[in-house]
Amino acid sequence: MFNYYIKMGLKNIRQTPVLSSLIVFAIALGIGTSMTMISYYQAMAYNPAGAKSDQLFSVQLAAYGDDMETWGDMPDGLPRQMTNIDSSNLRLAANSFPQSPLYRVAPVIESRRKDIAPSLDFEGLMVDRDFFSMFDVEFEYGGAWDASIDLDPAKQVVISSSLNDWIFGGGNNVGKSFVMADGVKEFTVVGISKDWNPQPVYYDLTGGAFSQEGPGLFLPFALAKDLDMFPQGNMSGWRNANVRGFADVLKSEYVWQLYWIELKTADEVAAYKDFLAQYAQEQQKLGRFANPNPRGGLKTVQQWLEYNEVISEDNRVMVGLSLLFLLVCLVNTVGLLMAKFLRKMNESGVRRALGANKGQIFNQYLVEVGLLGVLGGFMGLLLSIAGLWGVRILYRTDIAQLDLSLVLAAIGLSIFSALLTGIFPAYRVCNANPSVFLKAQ
Amino acid sequence: MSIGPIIRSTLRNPAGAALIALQVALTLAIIANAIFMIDARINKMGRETGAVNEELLVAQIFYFGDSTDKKAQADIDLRFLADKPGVKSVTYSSAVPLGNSNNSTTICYSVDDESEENCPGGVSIFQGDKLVETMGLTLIQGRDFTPEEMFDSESLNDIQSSAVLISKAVADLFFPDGNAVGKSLGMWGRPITVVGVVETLLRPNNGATGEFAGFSLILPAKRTSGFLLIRASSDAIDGIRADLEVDMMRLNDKRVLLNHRTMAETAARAYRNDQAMIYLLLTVVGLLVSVTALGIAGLVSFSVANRKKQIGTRRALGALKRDILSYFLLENALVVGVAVVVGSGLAFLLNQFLMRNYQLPEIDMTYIALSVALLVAISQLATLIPAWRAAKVSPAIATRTV
Repeated sequence: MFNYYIKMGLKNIRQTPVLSSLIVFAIALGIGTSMTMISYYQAMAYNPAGAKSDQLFSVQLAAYGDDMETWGDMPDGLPRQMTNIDSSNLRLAANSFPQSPLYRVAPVIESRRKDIAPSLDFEGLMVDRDFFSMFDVEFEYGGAWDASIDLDPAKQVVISSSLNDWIFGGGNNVGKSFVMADGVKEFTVVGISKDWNPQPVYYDLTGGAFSQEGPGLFLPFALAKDLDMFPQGNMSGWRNANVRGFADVLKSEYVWQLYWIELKTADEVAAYKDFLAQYAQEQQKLGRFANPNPRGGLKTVQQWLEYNEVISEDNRVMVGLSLLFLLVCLVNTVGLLMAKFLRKMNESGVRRALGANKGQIFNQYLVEVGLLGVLGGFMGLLLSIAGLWGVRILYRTDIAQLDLSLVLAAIGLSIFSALLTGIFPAYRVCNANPSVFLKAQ
Repeated sequence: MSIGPIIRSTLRNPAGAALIALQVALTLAIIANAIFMIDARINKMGRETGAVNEELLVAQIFYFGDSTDKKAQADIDLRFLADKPGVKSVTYSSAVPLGNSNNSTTICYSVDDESEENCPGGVSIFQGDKLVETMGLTLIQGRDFTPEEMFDSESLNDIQSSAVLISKAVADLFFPDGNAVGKSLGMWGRPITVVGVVETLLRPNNGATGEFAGFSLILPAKRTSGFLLIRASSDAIDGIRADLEVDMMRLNDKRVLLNHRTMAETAARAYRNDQAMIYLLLTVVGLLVSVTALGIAGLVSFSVANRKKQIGTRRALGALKRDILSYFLLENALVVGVAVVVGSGLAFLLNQFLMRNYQLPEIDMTYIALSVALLVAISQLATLIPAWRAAKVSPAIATRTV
């Protein structure tokens, strides 16, 4: 029976080509637009930390102020970033949790190959050794620097596969060295990592949530003072500091670093929270600041992504508008389907008179609508591929690519919405009195 | 033509008309809000930066190696550039409008009191020598800095001379009576004195909106790092830009020249997301209007095909082509008329929802009126083609098929 309905459906679609193609077009536009905006939204809402999302925490401190109640416009009153004073204290505190402070630098790097001008294109991350295991940075050669380097710094570096290609022309170059950061500094390569560029760049969202290139190199945080390089990105503060060089920034109350910690159980989270509160209060007693409620804050990766508003207001508005757009397309489709089915009314009148019951007529029309839905879905899919291409150009990004889930969602949503729009017109037709149409013949 | 029969025939099959009305109403709600948002973005992108956008080149220089005396090199660079034909003025600034790199602070009526009533404004700080001349800012009150007021500083929060220039937006906030020049304010716990007011100087950060976007202050600090600003006549600027990298490298090759753009390009870059949003919204409006127009055309075609016999009969009874045409147009106008009333209400509701959940202002009636006009025109046009076909139905049909 189902096959017969499909055959009839195809025949009916061929017989009303204009109405049928208008219906397919309307469904396709609605699906194409909404799927484009939804997959872009999905790409932004992606949590790249995966299984570690609940174990990695961004650490914040309310360790500021001269009786200030809040920090900027953050509802929880916590600054997004941290002072060097605090991160230096936290990383040396007596606990065994994997943790790392973080800030970005932009060193000028010199290639070991001939005739290549020095480059500023590779971004550096100042981190502790634990960073690599916490954030699942994988190695091609070598590995992280030794734990002792975090306390007693040496000019060691982990470079990305891309930077390895640029400096040395590829291969295992662990143990070799290159020059960067104001020329006088020679660094030894201890590890070569696979290129690592999670999107959104959840480990540091201060410079925008998406980046074309991941970090090119990782440097021991303990080298901060020797390296004497100003950080890239945001710096803000509540107390004025007379900053004449980077050494002044390190001692200042400016916040400009991030701090991450890995806590595996609820007990560990609770213990670390207590520790942070205690730490903030101790610092207050030392007279660094006068905060009515010195405290710490921990946020999981998911909370951190939301807190930093990775998904912009524009994205949300566009998803909403595109769904409203789909709704209009569906209302449009209902009207067109009514017209299409009414045209076939006398045919169903004959079928009714020959013994077909209402249910059979209803099913037959729904099968036809389902076919239109399949066609609309495929066309909508093509439109969303074009739409995503347009969005990638507009926002200059690589994210929001076609994937299997988009294909399935587009076609599934299309069939579902087509069937939904078909119910009312099909119901109208199968409830019509067959005798009227027989007489009209 | 009387409306009565049209209404009666519409009411006999209300579902079809109701669906069209619903579609038009929803379309209206969406496009009114979309057009409103598009216009807001266009206004934002059209704001004056205060600088001469087409005559100003912005570049950044990064050094490698410790061998360069950067201050001495900056002097050499500035002198070299100033001598190039077409160059009007050249200097370094700590910030440029929409250049993203921002240093801001709150300023207060007086030094001693840091309460919020005393410190109502956060301003972005620009440091540099000859900024008024180089950026081409308009001085509307007072004077520019004197050479005596200028001090050398690369530090971001250094005040060695109390003179400042403020933008008109700041002047209006602190001195609503219009007399800002000579008045004193507090910044970083130090007193500052307003020596002049510039018409507009947009902040470096694009996020600032409304009057806050223009809260800027200039300190008389002569810099030798930050943003290199070159003002040149518009016929010379392309040549200067093309030579810039080679020129700078010839003077000293231990450095990298980055991000050289005109002020206009800097602004366009800052507005990329706004531009993208405009394109997306325009696409939605365009597609939505097309879907609705095609839907209406399809349904009117269907209704024409269904009523061929009635139309033929009316024609046989003396109705003119014009009467048939106006019947369909009027029918459509009635349905759309009801729809735009409902749709205007929906547009307000959607705007209320957007206001509550996002930082959007209240929609102006103009946008709704504009959208109503657009939709009425489009739906009449969409009706016209099938209605024209109806008008051409031959009266003979009535006699043939009954």
